[in-house]
Amino acid sequence: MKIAPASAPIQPLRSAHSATREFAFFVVPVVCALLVAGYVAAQWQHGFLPGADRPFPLAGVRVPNWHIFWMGLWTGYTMALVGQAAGIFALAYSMSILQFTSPAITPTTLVLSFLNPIGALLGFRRTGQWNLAIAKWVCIGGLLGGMLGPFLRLTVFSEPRPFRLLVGAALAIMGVHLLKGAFRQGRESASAQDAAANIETLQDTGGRLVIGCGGERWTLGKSGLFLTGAGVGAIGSALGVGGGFLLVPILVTAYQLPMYVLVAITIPYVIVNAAVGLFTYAVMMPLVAHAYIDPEWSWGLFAAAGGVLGAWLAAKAQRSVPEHLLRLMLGGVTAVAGTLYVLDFFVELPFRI
Amino acid sequence: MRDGQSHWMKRIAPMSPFVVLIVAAAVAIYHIVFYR
Repeated sequence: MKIAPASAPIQPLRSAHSATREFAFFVVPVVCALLVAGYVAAQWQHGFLPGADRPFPLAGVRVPNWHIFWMGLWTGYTMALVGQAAGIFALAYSMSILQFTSPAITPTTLVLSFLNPIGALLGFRRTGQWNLAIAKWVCIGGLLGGMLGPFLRLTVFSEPRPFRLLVGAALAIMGVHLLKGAFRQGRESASAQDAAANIETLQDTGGRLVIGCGGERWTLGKSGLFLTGAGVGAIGSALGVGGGFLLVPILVTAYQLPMYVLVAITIPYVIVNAAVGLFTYAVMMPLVAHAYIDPEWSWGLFAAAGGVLGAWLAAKAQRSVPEHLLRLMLGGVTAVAGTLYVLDFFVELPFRI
Repeated sequence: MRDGQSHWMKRIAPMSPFVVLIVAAAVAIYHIVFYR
């Protein structure tokens, strides 16, 4: 009778068991809590549950609630597989397919943008991809930008056409970024595997910050990080997304940071920026400008429930997914959609997008 | 089989995003036909 070695064959069972436990004790409660919160929010905001029979009052559209959950699930799943947040994809889908075109789309998508990456934040913290010194300055910029963005939405981008132009530009940028990543992916994934180390602050003096990870080091200017955070935050919260789609290409171009280090900045940034943007839409704007762009809370919470589940599933499936092909597909679709949105601003298209 | 990747997950995961995208397109068409 053979006796199995103590560690190796038992490991998969233990890991699969821990994933099941994580699903049962973290994912299911969070998803259920968000669905219940969506139902309560609908009753509190409208006095009934909108959906397939009764339109969402602020959105002005009829759509079954399972469809909103599904939108969060599929956008959260596919975008998390390529290292992106669901917000920008969900925004375009809500506008073009579900025809949610009123200004409330912006804070509503911010609910999804805020809740979607929280699970990822906890995961990256566990793996050591966490450095408050580097995230702090971008996040402080995001605080400022997150407060300015809603006022941009209220003024410059209040009309549907300029807003769609902004969405189109954002989609085109993300599409190009995904396509570029598809061609560089082999090199990046190798370096990510090599860099399985903590992100350390080597020097934090004056306006400079030196960080190190896996034997490499990068010097960053705090003022540059702050201004980048503020600028991206203003555009992100004007759109209703966290801003990762713009922050990642800027930081890669300016500092040549690898994806392994970038997530230590972008994940907390997206949460901070979306939270501040949401607070500004819901509380500050009515107080300061006496203007009201309320989120469709139940819509955002149902989408976030799907988004949390999708992002968790993506984290588990990521190693087995052909990321190169997926990046090509999503990048192509996003770039084409973005180009059509931009074209729609300048010329009349023969179809409605 | 690390991080909870069971045998069935390894088999279905590679095709899952493409299945998800096809279902998403089908649901979008269903919505356009019946709700718009």
